Amino acid sequence: MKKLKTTVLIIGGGATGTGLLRDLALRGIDALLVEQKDIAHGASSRFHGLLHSGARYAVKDPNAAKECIEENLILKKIAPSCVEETGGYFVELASDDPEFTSKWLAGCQEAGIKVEEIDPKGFKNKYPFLTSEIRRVFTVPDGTIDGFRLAWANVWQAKEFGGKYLTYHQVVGFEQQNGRLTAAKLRSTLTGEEVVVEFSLAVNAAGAWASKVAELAGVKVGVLQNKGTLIAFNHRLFTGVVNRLRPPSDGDIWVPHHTITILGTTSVNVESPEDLKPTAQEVERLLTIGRELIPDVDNYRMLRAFAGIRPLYLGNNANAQDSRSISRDFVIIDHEKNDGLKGLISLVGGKLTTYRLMAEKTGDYITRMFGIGNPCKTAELPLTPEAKVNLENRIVRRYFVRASRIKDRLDNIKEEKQILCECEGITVAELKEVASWEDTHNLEDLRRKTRLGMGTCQGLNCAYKSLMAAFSELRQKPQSPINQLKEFLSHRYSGQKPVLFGEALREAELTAGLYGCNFGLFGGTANE
Amino acid sequence: MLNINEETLNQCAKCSTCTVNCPVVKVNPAFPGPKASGPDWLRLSLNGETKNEFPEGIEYCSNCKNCEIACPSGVPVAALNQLTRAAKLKKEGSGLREKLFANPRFLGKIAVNFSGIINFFTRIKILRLIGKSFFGISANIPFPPYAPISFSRWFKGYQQKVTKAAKKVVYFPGCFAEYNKPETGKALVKILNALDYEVVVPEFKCCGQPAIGNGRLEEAKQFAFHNINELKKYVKDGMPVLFSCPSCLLTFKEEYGGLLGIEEAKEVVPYLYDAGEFLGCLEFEDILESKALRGKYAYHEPCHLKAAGVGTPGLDLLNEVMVDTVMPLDAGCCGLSGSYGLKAEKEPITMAIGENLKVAIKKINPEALVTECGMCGVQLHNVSGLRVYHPLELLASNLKEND
Repeated sequence: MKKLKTTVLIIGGGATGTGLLRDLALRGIDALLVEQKDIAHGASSRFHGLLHSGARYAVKDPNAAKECIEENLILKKIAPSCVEETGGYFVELASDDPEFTSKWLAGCQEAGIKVEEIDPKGFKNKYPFLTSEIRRVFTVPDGTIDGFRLAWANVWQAKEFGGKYLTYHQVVGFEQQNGRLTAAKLRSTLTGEEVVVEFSLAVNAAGAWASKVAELAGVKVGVLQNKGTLIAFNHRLFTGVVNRLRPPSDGDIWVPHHTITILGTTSVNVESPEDLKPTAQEVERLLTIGRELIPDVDNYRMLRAFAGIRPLYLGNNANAQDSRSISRDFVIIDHEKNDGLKGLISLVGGKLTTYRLMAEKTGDYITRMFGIGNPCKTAELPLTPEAKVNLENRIVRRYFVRASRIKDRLDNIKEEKQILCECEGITVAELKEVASWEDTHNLEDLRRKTRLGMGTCQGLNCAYKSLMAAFSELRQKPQSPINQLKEFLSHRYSGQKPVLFGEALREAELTAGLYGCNFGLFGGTANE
Repeated sequence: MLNINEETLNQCAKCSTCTVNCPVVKVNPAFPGPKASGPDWLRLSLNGETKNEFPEGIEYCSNCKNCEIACPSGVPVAALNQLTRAAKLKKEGSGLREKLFANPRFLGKIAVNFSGIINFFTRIKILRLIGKSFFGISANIPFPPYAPISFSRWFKGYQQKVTKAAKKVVYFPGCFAEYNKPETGKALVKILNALDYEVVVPEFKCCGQPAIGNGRLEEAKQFAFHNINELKKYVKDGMPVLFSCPSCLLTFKEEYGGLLGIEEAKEVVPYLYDAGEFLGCLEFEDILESKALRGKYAYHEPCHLKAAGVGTPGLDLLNEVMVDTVMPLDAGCCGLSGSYGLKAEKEPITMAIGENLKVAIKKINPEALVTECGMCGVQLHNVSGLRVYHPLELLASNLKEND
């Protein structure tokens, strides 16, 4: 059995975990991150991609609002390749309560969020498909953020400073000595191979899985698993984020994200963090609210629906079920203080916009705990290089520190300049290079790093082509390439199913036809 | 400008039928294809990473419209391509060549007065090579020769042979029949007169297709407004408008209302006919001298006739009204695409696409060729050396009392 040793073991490769890995690496603290699947496969990639200005929390959660605007400005500065400064709008409709608007304006001022009122007529002219019920419109410094890129950017920079990571390894148990956790037993979710990691401290940053990890150590962490469903529309409807000016509720944010627009979210409590199936009912619920802003929203092509789990920390409020009333604050639980178990802390709650702050506070805590490590540098040191928005720099914006090899390929190998994923404009060079990385194991990993298959065709044109292109490059060749294809397509299909009407239905039928004829696969429907 | 909203890109199912049917993609890998530079690009250009950029190779689209003909989802692929191309040319600035090619009426008006000299000079190799190095004009693809007098001048002096009870039709000759091949227009006037139709030719400007093809949409729009206003005077009395040029017809029918987004175009569209389409509904029995054509002919279907969605009325006329001796070439796009092939950098593409024609013509081994499109005719002659007729010319040559 393989044995590893580290000072801090971070469990969970989402924004929280990768943010902490970067924080600790920059402080010079030896850390290893383990993730049961791929980096950012959970909530950090299954959200609407909104970089909060804090305005959304201005009335109910002033503390969160303040944190958001501070972190918003920091992320725009340190991670320009992950953030798009789209700006955002808050829109008051005739049916909304004008008194809420006054409270909201006061809240924003209190939190230091820059708000400007603009002419609703000009707004409607810019977006003629909007309802004519618009009464007032305000701009806020919202932005959009790529959860995949952000998490990988953290990991890659951490690696440069000595941080280590291990994907596709699940924690299956802990070892204890004299009331102290000393080691974790990991199992590879790809090969089943077991690894033991000795550590001085384990940080449970497993998000929706945090309760499960705590259970393995014999302690309790109350996390409410709250499912949010979102719809991805085919193209960019807005240039900026559009919010409704009313207390946060279901389906009221539109986020332009890369080539698509995401509408979300719903809020339902679920039993398991794996319960990620969006339903047709949830889609209908989102559309009902969407119609208030875009009356003919049904005519716009929906690519798919997807869901993510909000891991909401319950704390002493263990019976709370109204998910929207639970604060988005985060907590650091020292299980020595709470449960008398040394060597384990849990980092839970919070939201993506404040992930860096969570890491900073935890890093400070660990630094004090061990009496080692430098002060936090994550707010100043650039996480990604600044790359101007243009085609030339597209590769740098996408892959930052890992861009140079891709650029070389594009410059030197003519055939690799060919666009392979047409919907997202991804070249053969990118796919081949990304496939050759040690942390890429399958098409889904490729997708998270490149956006492969996330556009209009949902895999119709790119799945088989990219498997052919990537196959020779993959370090561990999949035993059955055809199963890879099937898995990839059925993942795509499970998201298409709840929106299977109109153009999405045509697309799905075409995919089923193509894969049925050419590969004997009935598109993604084979597994359904 | 464009009356195509972002919704039209939602209908693209990525089936790639357009790319399969694109004649340019087949021979030129530098062109990413109609879908990639049309709906794909439009969608990507709404994204922050690619806005203000243009797809590489967009200038290679010849606007032949085969992508739109093929699209099963009704996406205006070619129009999207033209829009992007025009935006690129506008941003980067277009040369004198584009300006001249965009306005064949301007060129024609001058050239027709000096046709002899101009036709002589455009055939001199050394001058053509100079043209290539200074203006980027192809040195090998021959210019369509200019006629000694324009169609309009002939028409003004022509006494129409009709009765007092004659019905009236409008004829839009288009720049090619006007300045390069007035025989086409003369033929139509004679046929119509024989059927007791009086022909009216109002003051027109160029249809705008060359302007669209050269990325000058504003100019095209000016022409369009003039032409629509002119036509309105006649169509309000229900007069049909006839075209002998498929590209002119297509431009009036599709581009005015679609690509150029002119609402009023809708008022005239129901009155527009391809000349063959109009004649196909009439009785010819009594006016023809002989039903036989002299020899074997091969017919080329212009892409823009296909795109106009009227079938092949010229071919049908020849084969139904007269005797069945015209074989369809069925070789696809000719590759010249108006002024496209006259540009030096496009010449290899044009010639590569034209290979299909060569093969098909060899197979049939006809006496002469038939097609409606003047510029297709230039290319047909170019690859085969054979004479090329407009179907109307052949029809008119068999009229009784032909003068």
